[in-house]
Amino acid sequence: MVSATRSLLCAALPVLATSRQATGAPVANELRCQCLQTVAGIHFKNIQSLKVMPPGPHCTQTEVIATLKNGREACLDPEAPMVQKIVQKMLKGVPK
Amino acid sequence: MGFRLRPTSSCTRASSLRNLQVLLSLLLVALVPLAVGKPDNNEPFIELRCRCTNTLSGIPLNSISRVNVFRPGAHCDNVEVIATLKNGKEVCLDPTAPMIKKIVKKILEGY
Repeated sequence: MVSATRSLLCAALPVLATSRQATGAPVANELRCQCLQTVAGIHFKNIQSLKVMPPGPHCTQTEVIATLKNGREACLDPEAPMVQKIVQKMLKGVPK
Repeated sequence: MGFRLRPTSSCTRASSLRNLQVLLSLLLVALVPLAVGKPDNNEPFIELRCRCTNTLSGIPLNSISRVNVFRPGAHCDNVEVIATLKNGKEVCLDPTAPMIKKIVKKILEGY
């Protein structure tokens, strides 16, 4: 019994070390542009959430990424009037 | 013979119990990092509740790294606007505040 618990303790320590290392790893932002192509607009009712990223050191252009209700992501053209309307509609909380 | 057997059995029981306690405490410690790691996994999923309890009506535009807008849904009745700052913090913004609408508009225009 004593030897069994000792072997279990020895086996547990490496697992602890591994999980702690994984936890401590910093989550880096994307270091590049995420949108290669953009669409001018998609149907408002399909959008679940919207991510708006201003230009920065990682990317020189504004990026708008919509997460659809089916889980997919789509890049929208931030300059398209349709996209700006969609964003304003989102902020107003317009339901379906 | 009887007296000799008793102390040895009690000693073995006590030591094995202590080892089990140490092992259990280690397992409990192991669970905590997993819980801490969960926020990393939250990106693909939507929280099953509202995230914003307090909202701000304005923040400096140049401190914003990203803005997420969540539509009302089964998980939450409210529109939620969550800004990630450049220092990594996340703050909730009031979607009805005029300042917030201006901020989002400026970001779209590529200030």
